Amino acid sequence: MSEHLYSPKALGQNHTVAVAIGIGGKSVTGDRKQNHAAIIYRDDSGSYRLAHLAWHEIFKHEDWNAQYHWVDLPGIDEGQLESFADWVVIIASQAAEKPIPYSVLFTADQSFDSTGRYSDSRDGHGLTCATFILAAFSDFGLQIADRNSWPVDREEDKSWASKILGRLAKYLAEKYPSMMPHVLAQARQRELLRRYRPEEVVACAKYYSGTPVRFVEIKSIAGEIDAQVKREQS
Amino acid sequence: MMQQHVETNIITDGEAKYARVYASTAASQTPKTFTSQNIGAQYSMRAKAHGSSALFPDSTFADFHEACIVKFVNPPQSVIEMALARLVETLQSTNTSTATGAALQATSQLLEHVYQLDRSGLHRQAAREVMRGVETSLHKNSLEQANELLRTVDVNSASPRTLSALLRASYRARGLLPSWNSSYKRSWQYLKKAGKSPEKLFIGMHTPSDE
Repeated sequence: MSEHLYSPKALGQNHTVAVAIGIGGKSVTGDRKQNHAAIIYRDDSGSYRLAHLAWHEIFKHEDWNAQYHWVDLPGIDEGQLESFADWVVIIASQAAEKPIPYSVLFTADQSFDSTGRYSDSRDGHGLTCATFILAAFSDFGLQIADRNSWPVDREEDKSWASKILGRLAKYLAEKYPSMMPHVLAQARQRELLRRYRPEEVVACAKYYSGTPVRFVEIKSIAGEIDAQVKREQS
Repeated sequence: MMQQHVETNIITDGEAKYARVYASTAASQTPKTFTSQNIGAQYSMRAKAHGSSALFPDSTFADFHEACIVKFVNPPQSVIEMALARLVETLQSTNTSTATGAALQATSQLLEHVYQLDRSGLHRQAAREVMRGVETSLHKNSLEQANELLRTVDVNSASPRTLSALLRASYRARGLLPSWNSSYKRSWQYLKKAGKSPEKLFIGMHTPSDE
């Protein structure tokens, strides 16, 4: 089995990169079956930082914590990657006024409107940690995944959606009861769920070279990434 | 309504050990002076930690009208960046109907600042500043100013990376920006002629000849 991921400790020591895409398993999420993806970038001082959508309306921009395995993005010029990371940070500061909702439903259309705010269609759509990365790349002119090539209605994804929507419903019921229709809208549409898993987005980033990566091209690689995360982060 | 007057001068006259910032309201024209002791050192440290996103605190400008004269004398680079970003934000917070002239002037100033950063080899900072200019404009729905950046950018003066950053930051709004396509095509052709591989810089985006 191939090893696609660098270890957390390798970042900045054995390997220096402008931007990496990180993936955390149980050590980050507390759940062996739940991975989390994040953008990792090197700032002006040479320190690494994390930028990621952690949960419903929670965008985190924080210091590197060495908890994520990661991939580099050899298909994209280093300067472009630095600009991408800097732009994500700028966009995230705009998003503070209109936080990004968490949703298992992801529209293939433009995610951030011209003002930089998340385009909330109020139909239950939003972003996950993984689709946030896809959306950011896409709106920066880097469509790393051929999103229409992703399968719909995978059994494992339906059970994942049920679990995550349960957590979201509980969270919103306690904190933002008026947002409950946001969960119900997702629940109604989950039979047609097209999920972009964190390990699949990580694989797309790794193997993107100018043409949107198709699902069939990274399916087995994503499986190997997931296995490596489970093996090394349990 | 108070006439808006904005002027940003970056003056170089040899070695400088600190930055002096003059600012005055359009009403009083009374200059206020800040030195690196109370602005530059403190905020350049913060800027180093957080890129150039840390600006002068609101309290610094709290008693100023949005129309102000700002002059820098041999400022540390980070102070220039912070002040320019602040200037753009200040302009964007003004009434759109009266801000047009000044806003367009600020666009010109921002580009001059970006060219200077590029000339200094600070390409990442230049790219970040032009993206911040785009985002600040778009965030306030000032499509005119965002479009002005695209329309007037000098492909000879901006680095390839800055050109790419300008076009990528405005990419998602290209349908609303009349100058996006022409700016993209102009940049592509210039970079191609200069042997700078637009295919690599604009990876993921269509080639202008596709249209």
